[in-house]
Amino acid sequence: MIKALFGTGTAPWRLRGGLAELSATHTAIATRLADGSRASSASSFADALGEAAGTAIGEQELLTNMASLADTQLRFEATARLLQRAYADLRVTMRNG
Amino acid sequence: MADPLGPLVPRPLRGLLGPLATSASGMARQQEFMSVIAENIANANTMRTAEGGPYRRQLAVARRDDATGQVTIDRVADAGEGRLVYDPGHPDADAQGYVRHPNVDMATEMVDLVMARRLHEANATAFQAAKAMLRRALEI
Repeated sequence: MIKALFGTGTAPWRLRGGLAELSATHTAIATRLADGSRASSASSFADALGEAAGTAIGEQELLTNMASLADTQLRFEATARLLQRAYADLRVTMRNG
Repeated sequence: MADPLGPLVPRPLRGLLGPLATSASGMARQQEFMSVIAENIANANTMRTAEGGPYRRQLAVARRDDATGQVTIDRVADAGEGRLVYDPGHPDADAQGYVRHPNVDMATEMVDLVMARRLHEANATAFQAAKAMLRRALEI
């Protein structure tokens, strides 16, 4: 009975997995943005510093990352609302059942 | 991936605070970069320094220790030479009448400044997003 409410394959289980996945996605985007540049300049001298050149984030990549960030945030909000609704339904079921 | 929180934060909090710490670290890095760029712009006309000769452009380079996740920012001087200007009346002119100016290019500094500011804003937005998601998760 409990498995049917909370176990693998149920709505709360799937939504929880979705939240964890979106949280990991957000962490990855935040890391990419934080590592956006490793030197204060993108000039040729900075390029010569080696590691600085390899990880510099471009304008286009910045926009792509910001779009992904907004997308992730909206999906997280939607998933959290659905999970909240699912838990509310479960509470009602337990109270009235 | 390196842990930006350090060893003192308890394990259960790491997952929750990780994205916040990552974005905060990114913002701090860009602030340091902007400070170095501002210093370069301020010294674009400094002809004499304690080390001798004109001011040399500074660069901030972030280095991450993969073992601890800590990011340190080193300052290095740009090895490039500044432009030579023929000005025999200048007190710093050499025997041929040429004066070596600081190797600061204002256009390059402004481009770097814009990029640093954009990245700072991007990290601030990511921080706000992480905060909103954390708050939403606590409301479930």
